[in-house]
Amino acid sequence: MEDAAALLEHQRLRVPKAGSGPEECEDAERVWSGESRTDDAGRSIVPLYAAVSDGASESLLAGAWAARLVEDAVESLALAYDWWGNLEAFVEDLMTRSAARWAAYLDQYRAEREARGRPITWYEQPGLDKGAFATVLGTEIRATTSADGTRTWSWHAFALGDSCLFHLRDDVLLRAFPLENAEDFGVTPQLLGSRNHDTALVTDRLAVAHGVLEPGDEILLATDALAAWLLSPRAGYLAPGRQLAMVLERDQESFPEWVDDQRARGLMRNDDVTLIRMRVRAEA
Amino acid sequence: MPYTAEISRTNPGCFIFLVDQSASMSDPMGSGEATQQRAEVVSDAINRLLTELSVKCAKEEGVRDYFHVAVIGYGHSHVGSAFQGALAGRDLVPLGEVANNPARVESRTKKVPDGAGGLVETSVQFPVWMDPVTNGGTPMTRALGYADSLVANWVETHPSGFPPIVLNLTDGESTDGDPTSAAISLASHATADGAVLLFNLHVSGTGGTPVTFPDSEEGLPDTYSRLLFQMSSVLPSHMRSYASSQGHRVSETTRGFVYNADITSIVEFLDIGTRATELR
Repeated sequence: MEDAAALLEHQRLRVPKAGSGPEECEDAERVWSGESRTDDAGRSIVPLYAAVSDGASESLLAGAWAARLVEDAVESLALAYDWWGNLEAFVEDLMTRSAARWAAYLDQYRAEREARGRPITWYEQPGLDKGAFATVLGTEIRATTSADGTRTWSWHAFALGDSCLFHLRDDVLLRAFPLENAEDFGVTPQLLGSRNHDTALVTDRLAVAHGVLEPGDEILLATDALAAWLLSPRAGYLAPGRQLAMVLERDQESFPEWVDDQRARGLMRNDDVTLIRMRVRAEA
Repeated sequence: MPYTAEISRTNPGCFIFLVDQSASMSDPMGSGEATQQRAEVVSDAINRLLTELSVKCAKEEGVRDYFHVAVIGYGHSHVGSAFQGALAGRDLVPLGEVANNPARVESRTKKVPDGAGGLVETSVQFPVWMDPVTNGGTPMTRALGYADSLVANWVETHPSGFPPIVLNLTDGESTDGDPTSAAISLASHATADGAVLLFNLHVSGTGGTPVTFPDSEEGLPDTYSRLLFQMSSVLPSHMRSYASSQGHRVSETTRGFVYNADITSIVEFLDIGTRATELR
């Protein structure tokens, strides 16, 4: 039997909005293998954690906030073991972690601006007072192997906002989460603000989902422009999942060109694009 | 669908403010206790609109050039740039340059909640690009003509962009003829995304109830306000939905017109990306 961790493959891709440089991209992603463990029933658990976050373009330091949120999310997922069992405790842990890390970052940011002789201006101050905003989507993919060698695969995810998870089988969409229709995307998604400390509200607004994976299945995490594209099948075209698989399998380097082409043809909104593609490889 | 073109640095929008600087603007707004000169109300509105627009488009260490902005004054015999300071004499200026070049930045006090149910005074920075000016007649027709030439040039160079927005701030009494045909001519320019949007703020001493984004002339107090209402463009659907989400009562005939009230919220109607909204 092959090692479960070796069967979990992933790709990470990011394309900034046309007209923006890579340093201006306000999406962030993180994938982390975590540590294998044995659960109370003696089963071996092999996890893979992943998160994406999309900083709101109208907020300041949104990219920095998103970058920290994905780190915080995978850490909180990993530390909680079965995080979905106590959602409020998980949210509390995530928000405490992110608040502390963000406060330290802001202090450092302000000090660094002062030191460079570029203190905060009048047009930045209101945005800094308001805080940074971003979506957050986190998932754990898990292989559970019993003592008798039976192995099952599953995914558990949480989401706030319009970054989406897709479960694909044979390139066909089985499940989209938390949005299911292209029309659901707008300019006012739910966002986690850096000054939001209302754990109960965030717990209440957080969407959670889980599913069972078969060998060969894929889980995609995508920020809104690509997510909306994946939810817009077009007559006369291949299914979106299959189109994307063809692009990614042909040559990962051509992904930015393909995104540009979709934008130019008006099929994808011009926005930062982030994709994490995870696959459970079938055993040889 | 019209009025959905992306507003970005590669596809910037154009915002033209027309500011009445005539002698009548030295009259007070109303007869109440807190009377304020109309010209002061209007220059305050311009300074706050430019502030809000800059804050909306601000990123770390700069304001992005999502818009090019002109502030055109009209009064006396003069129609032209009303910017003071480093931008004096300039027409359309990229927003980042506008933000970095107010004539001065004043420190004003503002009352904010102290977190314990009371209010506390705090100092806020208030950038100023123009001071109140009052002088001579109200050549509104010429001012609309001036905007017409700026707009004509803009749509020629940005044929597929979001159409220019012209916001006229006045006490309504044009002295160079009925401005209607100049307004119609201005609003007839278009990009592939739609026709020019002409909005009006009417500051008046006539009194009556302040009106924000009405959908009919009913309730407007005089011929000037009705004329300005008729000259104003109907709000495009996404602006209408945003106005509605902000608590304004809107219909399909709601126009970009405000009578004796705050028009700064118009900046919030513009879509430049994902809005930073608190979780509710």
